[in-house]
Amino acid sequence: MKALLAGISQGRLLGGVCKRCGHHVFPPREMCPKCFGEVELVEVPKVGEVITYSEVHVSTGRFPTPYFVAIAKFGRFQIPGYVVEPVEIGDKVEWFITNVGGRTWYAFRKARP
Amino acid sequence: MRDVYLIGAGMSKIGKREETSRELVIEAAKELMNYVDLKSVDAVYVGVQSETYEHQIMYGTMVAEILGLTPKEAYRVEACAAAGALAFRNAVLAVKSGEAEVALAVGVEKMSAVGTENVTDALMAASDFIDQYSGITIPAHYALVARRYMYQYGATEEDFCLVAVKNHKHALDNPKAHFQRAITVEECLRSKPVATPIKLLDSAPISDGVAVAVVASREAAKGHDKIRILASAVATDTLSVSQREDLTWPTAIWEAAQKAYRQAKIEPSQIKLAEVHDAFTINEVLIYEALGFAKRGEGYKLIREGQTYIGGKVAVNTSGGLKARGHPIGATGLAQIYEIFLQLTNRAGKRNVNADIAIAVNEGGVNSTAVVHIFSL
Repeated sequence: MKALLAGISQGRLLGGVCKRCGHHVFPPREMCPKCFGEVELVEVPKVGEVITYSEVHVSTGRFPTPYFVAIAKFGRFQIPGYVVEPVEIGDKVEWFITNVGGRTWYAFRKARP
Repeated sequence: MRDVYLIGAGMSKIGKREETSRELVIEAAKELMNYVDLKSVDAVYVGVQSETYEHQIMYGTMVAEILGLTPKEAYRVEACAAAGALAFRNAVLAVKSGEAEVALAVGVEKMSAVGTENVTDALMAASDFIDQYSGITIPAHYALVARRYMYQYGATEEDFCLVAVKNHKHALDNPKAHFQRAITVEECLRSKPVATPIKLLDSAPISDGVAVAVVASREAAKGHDKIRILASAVATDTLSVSQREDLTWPTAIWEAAQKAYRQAKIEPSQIKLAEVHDAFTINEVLIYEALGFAKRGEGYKLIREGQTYIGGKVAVNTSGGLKARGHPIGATGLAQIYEIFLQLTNRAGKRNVNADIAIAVNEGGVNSTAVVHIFSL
């Protein structure tokens, strides 16, 4: 959690790659859950592909409704996120750092060609 | 280890209740006392999801105090909505190991005192922080799974609504259900969106309720209604659905069911009654597959064919399920076992299916903790 938040405060979305077995870990953690090897922090590839999405109408009060969420594949990282516009499965999206629900966090938007 | 038996159960009426969980515990216990002498209980395990609703922890002690069981062993267990079946598993293990002769499992949740936004927030704590910070509520998680399932296998929103229609129909004959009202596919399709493609009528309600069950050794079970507990199994998966290779596959439920089938030495085709975790309609479809009632990717065909109604190939959620019986989170796993107790002892009235083997599937998070029990006459 610490590594992810530190990356976000510098404008970067970080994932972890195990130095020993190559397993991709998101959010990045200190230890690889597959082989207990050391995890290296890497920046998540900028552009990913939406594999599923939803428009949320009932929420906690922190997020004005309705809003969009998705899970997208960025290289070998599969990442859940807030999306600033409607998307469909197969759409290309990019991550960026912004305000989400009152926090500095990452979100997705359609990739600019 | 030794054989263990379910010898009694009880449940409060489920719904929006004015009483606090303290009164509801007594309501459920009074029914249980028709079957079991409370003074015989050696240990108490209580499943509760959240301290948010009543600003209360220490439910184990609370229940022991209310039921006159102090200073006996009593504590709370938690895995979100799987808390109830986990409390039951604690009771099973205590008796199996010989630590207790008779153990009481209690499931409690009093949710309706707080608003929907607060409930959504309390439940969201069951997901990973990356989901929570991104606004991915628990219904939204199931929505992400449902959307992907529709894309991969060609299921439709109508298919999911069929599950809700069935469970509401079953609950018509359950006087303790939260809803005793039939619904149609059209009503379901037209109901308000919660997180697309999930709508209000795909979703279990916010309920209050308590359910209880007692596990006993063979010796202690003498002279009681005796249902054999053939299997008790738990498995886990990632907190965040996003970290699963196939978003549509409930690995924890599959793994727990496989373990349970091995313990019970039975095949899925022998099961005639299943009480399963339809927190959202998509999940009942996924559970058909994870239990081996349908092939992977074909669960929706089972409900299309009506095979999971009372009278079908396997009766699923004869109580009305989470959808219509109601879903007081920590109580749900024990509400399922209560229904199985009624069914296997021929006390389920009009909804009785004359089953001899039954399975209960309770899960927490988004299929992150799965608890499976198998029972037989």
